[in-house]
Amino acid sequence: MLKIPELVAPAGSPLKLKMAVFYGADAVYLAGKRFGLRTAAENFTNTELCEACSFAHDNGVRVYVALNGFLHDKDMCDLDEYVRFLEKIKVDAVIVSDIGVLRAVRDNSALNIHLSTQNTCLNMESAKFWKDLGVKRIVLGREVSILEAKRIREMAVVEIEMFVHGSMCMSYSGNCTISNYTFGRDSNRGGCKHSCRFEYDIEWGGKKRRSDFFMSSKDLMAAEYLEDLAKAGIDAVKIEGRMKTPYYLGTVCKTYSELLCEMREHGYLSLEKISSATKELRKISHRDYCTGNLLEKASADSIFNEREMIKSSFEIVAIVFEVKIGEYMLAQVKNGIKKEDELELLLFKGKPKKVFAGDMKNVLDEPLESARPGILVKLPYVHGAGKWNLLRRSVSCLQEING
Amino acid sequence: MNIVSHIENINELEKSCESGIGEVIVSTKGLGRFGNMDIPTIKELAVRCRKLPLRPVLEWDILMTETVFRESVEILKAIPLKDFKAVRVVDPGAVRYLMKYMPEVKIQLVLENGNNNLRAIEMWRDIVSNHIDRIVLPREIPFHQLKKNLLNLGVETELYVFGRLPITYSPRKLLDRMGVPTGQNNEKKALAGTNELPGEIFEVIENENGTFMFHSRDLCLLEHMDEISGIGVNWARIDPIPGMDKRKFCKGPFQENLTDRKFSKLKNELLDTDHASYIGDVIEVKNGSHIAIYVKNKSAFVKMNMKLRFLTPEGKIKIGPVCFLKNSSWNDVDLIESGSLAFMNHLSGISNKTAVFMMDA
Repeated sequence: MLKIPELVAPAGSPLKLKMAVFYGADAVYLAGKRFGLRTAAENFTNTELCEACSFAHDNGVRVYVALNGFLHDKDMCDLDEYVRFLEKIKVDAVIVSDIGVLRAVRDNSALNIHLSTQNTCLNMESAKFWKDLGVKRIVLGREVSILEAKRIREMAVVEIEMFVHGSMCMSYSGNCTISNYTFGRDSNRGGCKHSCRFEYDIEWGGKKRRSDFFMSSKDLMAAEYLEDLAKAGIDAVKIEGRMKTPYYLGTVCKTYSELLCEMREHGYLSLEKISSATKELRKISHRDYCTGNLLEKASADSIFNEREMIKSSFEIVAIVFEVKIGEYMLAQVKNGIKKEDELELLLFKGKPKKVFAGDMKNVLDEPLESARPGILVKLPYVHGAGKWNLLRRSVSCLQEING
Repeated sequence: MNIVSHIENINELEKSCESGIGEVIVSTKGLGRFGNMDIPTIKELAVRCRKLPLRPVLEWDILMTETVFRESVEILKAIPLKDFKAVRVVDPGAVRYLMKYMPEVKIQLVLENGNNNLRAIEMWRDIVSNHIDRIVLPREIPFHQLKKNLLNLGVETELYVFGRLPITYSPRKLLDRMGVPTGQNNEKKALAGTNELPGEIFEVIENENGTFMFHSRDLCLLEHMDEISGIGVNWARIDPIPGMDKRKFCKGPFQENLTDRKFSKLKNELLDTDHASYIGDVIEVKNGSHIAIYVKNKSAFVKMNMKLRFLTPEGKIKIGPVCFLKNSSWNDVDLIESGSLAFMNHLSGISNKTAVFMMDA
């Protein structure tokens, strides 16, 4: 019987944690206020981490805490205490890059250790090296193909996790210090300026090529290769994006989760299911998709030679905060809604449902012609609606976000 | 302090020796990031070094996927490693391979990237243990910290003091699609500039191992050689820089790691809610009517007549009592518990994302 990989989703904030859990993740990765790589994400206070663990565990979801910065000595103070705290609140594993952090985890707890992709583990010998040091699972570098991962899994006998969706570094992860030297912001401590997404003028031999985004990578999408990953024995598949929006997260989690469910039920993925999944994934913001190095070495096709744009055919308009069965859904507006808008409610499972904004009211039950971001609106109840469901709307434009 | 330097050409050997260099780093295709010597040349170089007071060190610093790793090992096996003082490695897979299958080979462990704390350096030292020849120290550690870390390390060390600064290493061939011609050593070379960093020009080199970008300024710590030697660094790496007279120099993070200063500005610490009295956040404000609070904290509640403290995203503090309390159906209630929305009287100066706390906790 085909072993189905665990779906590991990012949770950059308590709200995103709810999205990941309700939209089908098997595990979430998140970080506290320190020691992680995404310092610009909202992240979790210690109290929130405690609550996150209880909440996730109550819903059958595992919690992996990222301690994946490459730390300097002064960042290390309180790490031992923090590790003991994480063990006490029963996180399921910690994700580390830095061997000094790994030692701190080993010395202060019996926590499971996952090796972050930032460590660029790319081969079997490297996997054995980390396994010998007590690492239970390795998040392989995105440069590794499915075939290579299979061999590493078989020969090193260690759990393997691979990225299947989201943004990719052009550089070997953890090996880029452009931000460090040009902006004084350490990319390996969460300060990456995304210099690889900048527009460059390139000169060689008297020739000049203006406006090239030669270091910008397309995004990864491996929905159609989930079956290959499962057959290769990959233990977990990961979604990138602790900084991404709740809408992005909800959609990606739901799509991959439903594909994995389909595989669990039928032992394979139908073409129809894959096609519908990839259509759904194109509705969210992305930079054009590619398969990275999963099948073969990423070629020139993997370069996203365009200015950063939100390319999505749908946008989030609201998040449901309360549901009064048979009466209304109370939602917080994220993008303005007009009376004539036709919305879709993204249920946790199954197809989206239509919602008409025509009957939209405020909390005082006053009818609204339009609703601006940041206010609460009552929308007609839709069967199956739940708290934290997302409401979205079709858009036909591209919004430029970067200059 | 001894000097180690990279050489690209066998004919540079004697000159290196005359310059007082005690050790040369040599690189071959399939092992070194910029390796351009073939195996016969490498073998000849090692033989010629025997007659000179100069020790050769073989560089095996590419990052390797499984397929590349196996190819690299075959190249390594074709080189008489006994003629080399040590092999310089970056990839932990290479470290393990040498320790397990070539235990007689000494390792120069390159910890230049991402091993910026003492625990990390000590852990590596302990793992490689008696196989270790030297630790190549991280580039990101400021001098004052380096000084502390070297006190009891008990192993030979090296620091990069002069040369070009590679700042990114991509496995992808980024210049290929532009039609940049292949030149000497099978490399494509270009210069890249961006409006985001006016006046800075970055050299980009693509070869069979991928694409590398170099900092627009080269590293020069020559004026600090005495200090570096004084804290016990045994070897200084000084690499040749082509066209040196036209180059700009920097000291990297040697004097201060700027990140430490800049990070404090990246986050709004005013919104620290890690407090037992934290209730939740304001998610709607209707002037003259109400504010809506999402009661987030698991053990929190909002009760009629209780006094609340509001911390706005700008850091302003407001205090106010709950004069009316309603649920989303707009019914009066005495208490709203965690996970629900509480609607209370409007207070001026409060905006969305304001954090709400109990007053008397």
